[in-house]
Amino acid sequence: MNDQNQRPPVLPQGSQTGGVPPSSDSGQVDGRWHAPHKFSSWLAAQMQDQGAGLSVRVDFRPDGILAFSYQWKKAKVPVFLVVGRRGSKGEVTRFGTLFAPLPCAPEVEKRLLHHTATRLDQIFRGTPPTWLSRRSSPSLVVGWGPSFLQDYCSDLLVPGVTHWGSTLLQDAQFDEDRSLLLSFRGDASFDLRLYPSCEKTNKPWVGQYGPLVLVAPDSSIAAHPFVSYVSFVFSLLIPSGATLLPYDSSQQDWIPLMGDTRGEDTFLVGHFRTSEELYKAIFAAKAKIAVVGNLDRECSSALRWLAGATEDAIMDFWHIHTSREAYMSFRTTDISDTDVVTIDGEARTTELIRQVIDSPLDLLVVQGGCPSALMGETGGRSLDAALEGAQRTPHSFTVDVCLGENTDYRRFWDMLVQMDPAEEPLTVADRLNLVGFGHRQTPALSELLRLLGEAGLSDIHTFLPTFEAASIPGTRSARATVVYPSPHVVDAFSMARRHFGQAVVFPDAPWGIQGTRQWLDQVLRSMGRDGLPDHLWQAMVAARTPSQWAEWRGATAGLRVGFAASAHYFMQPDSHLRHGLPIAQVIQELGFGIDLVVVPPTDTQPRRIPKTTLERWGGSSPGAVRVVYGKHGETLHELLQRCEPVAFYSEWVGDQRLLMAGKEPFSVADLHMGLEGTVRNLRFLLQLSTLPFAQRYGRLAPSEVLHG
Amino acid sequence: MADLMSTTATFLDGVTLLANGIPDLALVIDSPDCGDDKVAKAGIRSDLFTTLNQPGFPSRQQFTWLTFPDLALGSQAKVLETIRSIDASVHPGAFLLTAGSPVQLTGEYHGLSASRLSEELRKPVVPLLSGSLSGDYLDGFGNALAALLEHLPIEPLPVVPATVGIVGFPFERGEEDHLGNLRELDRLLSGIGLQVTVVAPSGRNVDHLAGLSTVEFLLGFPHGAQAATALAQRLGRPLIQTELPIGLEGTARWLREVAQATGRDQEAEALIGCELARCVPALRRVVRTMFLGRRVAMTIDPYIARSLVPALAEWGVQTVSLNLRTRHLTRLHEVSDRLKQAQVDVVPTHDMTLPGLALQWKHCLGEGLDLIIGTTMERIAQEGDRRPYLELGFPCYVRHALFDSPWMGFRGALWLADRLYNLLSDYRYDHPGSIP
Repeated sequence: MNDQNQRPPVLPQGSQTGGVPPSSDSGQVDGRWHAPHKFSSWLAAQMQDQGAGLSVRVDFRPDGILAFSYQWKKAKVPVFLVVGRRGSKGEVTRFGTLFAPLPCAPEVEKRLLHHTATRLDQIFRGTPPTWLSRRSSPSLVVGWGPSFLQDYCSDLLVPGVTHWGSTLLQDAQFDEDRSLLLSFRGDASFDLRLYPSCEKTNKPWVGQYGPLVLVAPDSSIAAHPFVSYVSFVFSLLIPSGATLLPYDSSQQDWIPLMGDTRGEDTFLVGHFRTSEELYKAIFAAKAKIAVVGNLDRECSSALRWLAGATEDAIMDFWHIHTSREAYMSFRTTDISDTDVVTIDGEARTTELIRQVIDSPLDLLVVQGGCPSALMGETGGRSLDAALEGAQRTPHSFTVDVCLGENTDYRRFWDMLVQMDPAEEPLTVADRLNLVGFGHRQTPALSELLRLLGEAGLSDIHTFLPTFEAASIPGTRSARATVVYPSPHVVDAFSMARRHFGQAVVFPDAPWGIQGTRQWLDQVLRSMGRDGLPDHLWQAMVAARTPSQWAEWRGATAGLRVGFAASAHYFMQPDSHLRHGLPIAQVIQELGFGIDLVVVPPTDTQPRRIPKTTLERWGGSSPGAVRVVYGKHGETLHELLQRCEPVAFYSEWVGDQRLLMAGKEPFSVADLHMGLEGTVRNLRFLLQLSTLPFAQRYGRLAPSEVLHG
Repeated sequence: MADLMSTTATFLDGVTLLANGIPDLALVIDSPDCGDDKVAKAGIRSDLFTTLNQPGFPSRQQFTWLTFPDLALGSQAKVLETIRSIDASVHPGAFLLTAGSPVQLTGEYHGLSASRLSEELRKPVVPLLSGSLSGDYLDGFGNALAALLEHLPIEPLPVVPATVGIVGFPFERGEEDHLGNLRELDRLLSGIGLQVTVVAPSGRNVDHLAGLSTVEFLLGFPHGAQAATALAQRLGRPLIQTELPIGLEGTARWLREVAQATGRDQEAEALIGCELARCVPALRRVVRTMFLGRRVAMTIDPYIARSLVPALAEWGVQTVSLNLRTRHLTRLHEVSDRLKQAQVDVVPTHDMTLPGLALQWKHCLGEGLDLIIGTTMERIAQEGDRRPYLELGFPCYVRHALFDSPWMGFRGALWLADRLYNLLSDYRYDHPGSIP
């Protein structure tokens, strides 16, 4: 099978596929397929040729999805084939296969998936042996076509149908001739021959190497692991949900400006995997919630941590603590080795659901884990069984694995807002929704509510990252919705955007004194009112600034705050913004200067920061912003030591690199919105900048401890 | 609150705990990343001085971040990539490689990968069969220690006379409670002419364990019984298996056992006499005025319970409720037997959930309860009338030890008495009339 002489001709060949597109459309150049978007037009033609009552349009999207848009019985149903996608850092953010992205009747979905699979089979029929498959033993040669997709796709790849136990890969052998022998735990085994289509490139390559363009180049693929080629074929519709990469050891020479959470007020910096965000939202909610999990101990342990059911969570998410006891209920099947044999998790989950279902719940969450998914068990079936004949049916939400992408979060918010029984919103003139301004224990949130109250607005509902069940019914009747303008809040809000009515505004967040004034003005105008009168604003400021304000403000003269990063980072357009916080502006408003400390790459001099970048950081006034360039070969420690500022920005809690250099780290989580928040910010930065501890003792942190 | 899950820490918690106790041991868990809580538990929250995860530095504990395709295709590539990446950035002395439940279910075992990597990196890469589906943290800790010692180049070398290696010390964190325990064991064994050269684990690097090759005696604690037995057989050295030395009588018994096995009876008796003469005056008054008749509820590591319950009984403190933090009935039976031998009248339970504990403690409150000893995980089970709570064992998030505070040995007995006295005294002052 590895005989180079038997290598097939380029795929697809016209004589084999029953209709070759013109070369200009096909994307076939010099015997290779290079451009997926050209390929798609050819594929579309193929699909149209063989239409059977269906009209279909095929698009190859930039994100690596091959989209089939079916028009069938006056209904438009898209079916997607996810080829694969790689992020800018090479991480695979999503793999997938055939699926219908919108809900439709199961029969329709199944039929369309089958139809798509059949069409693809037909297209590729007779194009051996680019994908040379062999099942079991003795060898059975099948092509990339009917046997492959029909035999495997429906069983392997359709959500809810797949049984992992029989499809787990037992062995994979890969040789330099690009042949891959896959053996499964069931009866199946087959070979794949893989032919990447283009030369080595530094660009993300999965999109270019997708299955439909795996044709006949000569370039070596030795540099690419075989998993990258074939995983799209075998993966379920359960993609990697990671939105925050793990700490990248290659970045240890610079201070991460956006990274892990600090375990404090995490509402702005809490970039967890989306499933964790989901659970934070669920469990921090002021609502009666029961969670039933078909989970093993390790899963349950992690979930309870998110759920706030334990001291683990309380140590991290203090805001959860206050609402936990009265509202939470957590039950788990506690899967062990024995259960893996008996596989009765669904029945046990059903029983657990029945135990809680008659209590007055706002929400029932049924959670599956990896082990239960591997056993082919789903929370949906358990829930359906439990709901049969139930006296009442609470709002329920199933999450079958913890590795889900945004879909879980989106479904959750959709379902949440659907708790509102009102069909049409009836606008209440004075009602305002605030989205993404913190949770109940975020000090600034209650302070902002008081400011709004003094400005005449008191009927305010707050959402994200948590919610109160009692607020949901009022969501759509608000006159305006004001959203915190940071990407992760906007992203989360977009999931439930349609439930919040039309009047949605994204004003700059209320950071600093002037920022707070402008925000209040914009909120009032979104409510159809005039801006804030000057006398009222002055009264607000006078009531909130302490007598030492001028003294503190004067003490900042000559003090500077540091930011250390690569030149590349500073040159990003929004580098002066952190999670919606215009940090440069806020610091300068308090009277501090800013030092941008440019960490050089290990082997070269740092790039110079352009003037436009400095202006974004507020560098137009003399001395407001200074740039300190690292020297060639200078370590981060050496560079920091010769920098003047004591307070340095870092998202790492207790960043040892800063402490050892005599600096004191701070982050967004230390700063607050609003007027009172601004006063606290001033005091905090002033205290930090004059704190002697790290300056005197930071060097004593034993470096050997850091690496054992 | 109805959190129907046991508070017993998990298998991977135990493995992580061991890694926390050996600063240059890297831990790779072949699993999705949903075990983020492991490092937070064993490291960040429970140990102020953890080196598992240094802010701003590459972590020596990492998951392979499996996704479902990896479960189907095999995770070997990610395992190799993760270990190589840690090796390049952290330069650990050895690797421990284990897996989470999903990988355990697929049956994938990393023995071959570990062996390959050991050769490639020229350092031990130790495969550990996952037990996360049915094991608990004691299994994780014990199995990981056994696997580690098995794979380290510890071969019999000429014995250095009068040296002892301790295997299975429950080094839960690098704070001054366990460092104090280590100092106390060292002090006591020195007092009978033995030099402790190696303790596994003890907050020291992997190469420290190589010193086990030359010790004359191996002393095994329950947390590492399996590892100690295997090592003693491998080295052909005498093994002294003992309980943890907790309390006055418990410590004296422990010293006598060690002394008998090493031929130092006279030294031991002399030392015990001196130590008791120093400790007893400090305790004589408080035993009568503060401890006698106190009723304590305990939820604790079974190996600690076996020594701690009789130690408190010696002061007149009655254990009225005992929950053992383990999934295994065999450990419960072992504790029952020990307590019967010590004539302590309490029927232990095990692997309780929070509501179960809350109910048990509520019942105890009705009949009189003065104090609770447990880990952080069970604090939350106290409802309503809260009693003084002494955190002991893993995890310990609220109580930290910045200054010498052992709870093993004679000095440990004094620390325990000091701590209990002050907890009760504070509580009595703040809640007049609530406890006698």
